[in-house]
Amino acid sequence: MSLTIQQNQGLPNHIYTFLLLLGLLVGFIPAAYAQPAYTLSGRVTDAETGLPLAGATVFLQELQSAGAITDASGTYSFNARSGMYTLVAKYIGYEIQQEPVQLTKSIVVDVKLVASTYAVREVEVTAQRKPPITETAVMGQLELPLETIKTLPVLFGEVDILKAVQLLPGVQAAGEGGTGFYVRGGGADQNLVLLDKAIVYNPGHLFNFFSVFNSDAIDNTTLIKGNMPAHYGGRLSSVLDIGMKEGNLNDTEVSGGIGLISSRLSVQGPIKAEKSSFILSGRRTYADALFNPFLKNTDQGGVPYYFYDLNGKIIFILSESDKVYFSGYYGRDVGSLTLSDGRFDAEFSWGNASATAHWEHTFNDKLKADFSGILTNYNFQFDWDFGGFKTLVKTGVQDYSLHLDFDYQPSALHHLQYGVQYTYHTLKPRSGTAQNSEGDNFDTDKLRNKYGHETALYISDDVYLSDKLLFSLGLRNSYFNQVGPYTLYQFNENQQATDSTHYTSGENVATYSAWEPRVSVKYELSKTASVKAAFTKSAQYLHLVSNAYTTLPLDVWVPSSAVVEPQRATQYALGYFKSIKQNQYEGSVEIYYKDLKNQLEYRQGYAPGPSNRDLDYEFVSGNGKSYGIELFARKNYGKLQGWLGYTLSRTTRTFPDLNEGKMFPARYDRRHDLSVVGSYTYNDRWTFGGSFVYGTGEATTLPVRRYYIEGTVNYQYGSRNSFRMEPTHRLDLSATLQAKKWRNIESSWTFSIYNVYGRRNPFLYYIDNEGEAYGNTVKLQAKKTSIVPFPLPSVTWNFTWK
Amino acid sequence: MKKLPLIVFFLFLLTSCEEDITIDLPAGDELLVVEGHIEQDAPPIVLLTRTVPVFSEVSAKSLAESFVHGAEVKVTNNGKSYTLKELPLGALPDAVKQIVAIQFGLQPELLSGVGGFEFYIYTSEELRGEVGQQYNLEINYQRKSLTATTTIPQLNPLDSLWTAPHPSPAQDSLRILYYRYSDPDTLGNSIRYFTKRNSEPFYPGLFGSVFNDELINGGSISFPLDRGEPKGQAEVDEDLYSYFGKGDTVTVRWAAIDLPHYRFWSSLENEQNSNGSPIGAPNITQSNIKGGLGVWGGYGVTYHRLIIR
Repeated sequence: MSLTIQQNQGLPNHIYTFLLLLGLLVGFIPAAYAQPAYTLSGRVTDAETGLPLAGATVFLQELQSAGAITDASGTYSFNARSGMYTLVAKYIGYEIQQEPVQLTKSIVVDVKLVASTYAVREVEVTAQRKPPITETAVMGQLELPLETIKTLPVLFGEVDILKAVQLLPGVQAAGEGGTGFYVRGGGADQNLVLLDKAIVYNPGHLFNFFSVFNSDAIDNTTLIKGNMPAHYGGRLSSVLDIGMKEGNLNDTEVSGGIGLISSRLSVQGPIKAEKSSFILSGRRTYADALFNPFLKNTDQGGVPYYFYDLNGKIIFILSESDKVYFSGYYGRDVGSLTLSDGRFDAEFSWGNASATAHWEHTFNDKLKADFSGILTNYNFQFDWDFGGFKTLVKTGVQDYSLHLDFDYQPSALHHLQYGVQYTYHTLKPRSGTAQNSEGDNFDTDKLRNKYGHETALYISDDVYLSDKLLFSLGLRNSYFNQVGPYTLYQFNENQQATDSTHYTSGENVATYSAWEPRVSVKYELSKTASVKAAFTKSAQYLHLVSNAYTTLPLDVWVPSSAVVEPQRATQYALGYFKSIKQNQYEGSVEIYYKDLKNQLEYRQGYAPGPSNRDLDYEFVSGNGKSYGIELFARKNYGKLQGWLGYTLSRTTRTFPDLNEGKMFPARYDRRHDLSVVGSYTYNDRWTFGGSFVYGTGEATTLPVRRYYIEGTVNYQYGSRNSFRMEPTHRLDLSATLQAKKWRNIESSWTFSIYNVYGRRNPFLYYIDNEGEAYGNTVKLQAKKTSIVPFPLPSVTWNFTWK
Repeated sequence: MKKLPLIVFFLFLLTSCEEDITIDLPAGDELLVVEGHIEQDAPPIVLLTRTVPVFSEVSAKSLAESFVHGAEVKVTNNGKSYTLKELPLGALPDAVKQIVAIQFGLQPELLSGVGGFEFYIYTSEELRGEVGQQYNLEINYQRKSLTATTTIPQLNPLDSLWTAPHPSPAQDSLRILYYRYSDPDTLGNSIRYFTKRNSEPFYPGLFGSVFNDELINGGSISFPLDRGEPKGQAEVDEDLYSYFGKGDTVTVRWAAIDLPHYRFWSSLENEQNSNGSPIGAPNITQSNIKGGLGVWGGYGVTYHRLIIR
């Protein structure tokens, strides 16, 4: 492995260059294109709850080309020449509002929308009318309204954002039933999963069968496939940005649900009407209680296992121009087991915790700033006692971050975003300590926490060169600095440490930096059609390599270091976007090509196990490639809604130290991937949903020949990932019944069937063997393991009390 | 311990199913497989076979055909080269037969040719293994050339053996075997162990037969030692696994091995234990043979005996 460390690339120097560029960009462009126009801006909120309405349309009746769509905080802003106009605000499920405005200077007009009387369903309050996909410059960005997610059929009746994300084109599920996902040929660790700006390092519960996102606590979800705006960074493949719900500013509300394996409860309401609110949500499984009867006669005798999530958020609207929120998440998987008549006794737990403090300040109608402080933590712990021999194994990540983000719209022609982000990472390797009853102590004393500073400066400008041409120019400069205490080892051919270099606390160990341009262009062919092109470079400084068939909670995050270089990616994308009938239908065709550098895999022959050697030394690095075409068609409104996504793609890897240096298909190379998703509102009471997925079989490595060692079968393997399992496909259906309102309680029943026709999708192929060669009793059999190979029905009852 | 994850991940057990399938596998390229050992005071013994397609016939005939005959096999020690002769097992003196049975985990009755095929090995009467020596193996067969190196490490005997009662008082006829071992100061000491109960053959530990001092270097440790069992059993009796019985005469074969030799067994056992486990990691046995598969491994053996009362 080659090792390139950019020595002593001083940070101040770096910032200086960046600021210089920033100044050039900001100073130059407005001068060239500025035109006299006034800004009309404001905020659209729900008249009842006071919550912002994102995705509402605001425009001038007399000047249809002047208008905007509100952002996540409900604000809109656009420019128009002076005059008398009628301002119109529209949002699905709300009465249209009109207001006369006189534009002789830049003004602020806030709009409160009243919900339509017939729209009583709670979900529609959080539903977003999305901007048509033809309008934004960002490519490969898809929003998933929670309304849509809630109508999808799901495993065990648990509404799951990550499983909905898997149904989008370009996104693959990582294993049947799981919540992990791969985007455009990138690994599971290349997705930036954010919950109120905090990175979620392990988004799964119970070996990823369920995501950590409680649907009751979540507001909106945005997925960006690779062409991420400059304010996102640190991951190569995608951004999944999830916002926690804000509490109702006017009324107290209790909602919840009772499902097959878990129950949920949320309470929200004002602290001070219109000024501050809170929301608290909890979820806990009772799998322990549910499965115990089945396991009574087994050695285990029951399953003392459960998981839970807690989400909370409080907001304070301090003034017209200041808003503050504090939000937090805490979730854990907890279990224990006892084996061999009590000789083996273990307890384990893992989970994420995060806290975000966020302050939004509006300086004037042109300039806004967000300041956030974020703490995030993931840890895994396994404690066991084997006949008096006590062992503790743990691993984890802890981050402290500060973000300062600005949003500046100097004129109708520019929309700038710029800022600085800093994170201090502490990564705990998978370390262990043990002691026996005689007091002998053992530990992985060579495995120490690793520390890193990650800093990024970014700027982006959406430049409206003409009515038809929009340039989005972004640049991110990221910088990673591994610091001591750290010991770098040299190994001999026997993999034994022969020499070491020690770095003291805070001492610079390795420094990496990257310029990450994020450029996209949109050209409007007509009012309803556009073409977009994008070029993106990105760098990733934290890595997680899994060599199991699924990601596991004890997988370890490893930072870039003197041993492991950052992963890098370059992506090119081109797309055609079309919207029909005022965005009732939308469709797109996108092609992409992605070039990946310094991808990581475990070296040939690495076996997980207790080790006193950092995982850094167990990796080999190589390059990857992925290219494909993605088709997407969606019907957004009406009784029948849904989408169809199809991806044709190819993903390969080339590692000098794997597969004899020859190119091989990546495990997530999937030629065809199809999702069809639909929901149908039959009447006020019944809504039906369904989804069908099809994917080319996973690439896997299988034995081709056999031999005997000590009389038992051993295998000689074929080339890496050269074998294909059979294709996966599955149909899931659901029906939601809106129950009659009882006192103040609105409730609904959701019935769903997962895997309707009982498809046995392959999870794993292997060649089973038993018997002894010299006694001539050897038996060999190819086997397929499937997960949830039968139709699995479930029912969930959801309610809201106001 | 090795079986633990299967139980922890109960949901997989509850919701997953396994079925037999028929798949077409490419034939792959034939490789030569070495299973060769040298231990102190014993001749080198090398078993040379070839790989066959996974689903090719299992029979005494095909087994007989998998032996590679007529290869040139040489072992070099201290600059002196010894050519190993190919012999059928029946032609060997009883003492050598005994060593083969122990080293290769063979049932004693196979030695008399009951299996319906003749067992061939390559060996030399002139060479006897010595502690602390390095042995280079070189094999030439047709256009294939294989090389490997191993050592017989310094002996690292056990300090002591004793037993403790079964955790359940109802099982008072079963005992847990404990050992105490003091590791030398140098890093990299590794052990492979076998146990023998009364007049049974020696069996290596079933799920894990090797240890390494990576975490205990220079320290001393006492830990339970699982009873070795024959490999390839359809199902292991979980109630009896690891335990010895009251009245058993237990013999432990405690063999010091070098690191590449350790890695071979460790990765082989890892591969076998995780084969078919949905939460396992695919793993490929790490051979120390250049140009082929299998192992060329030295053993520095000490024997320890305990009669359980």
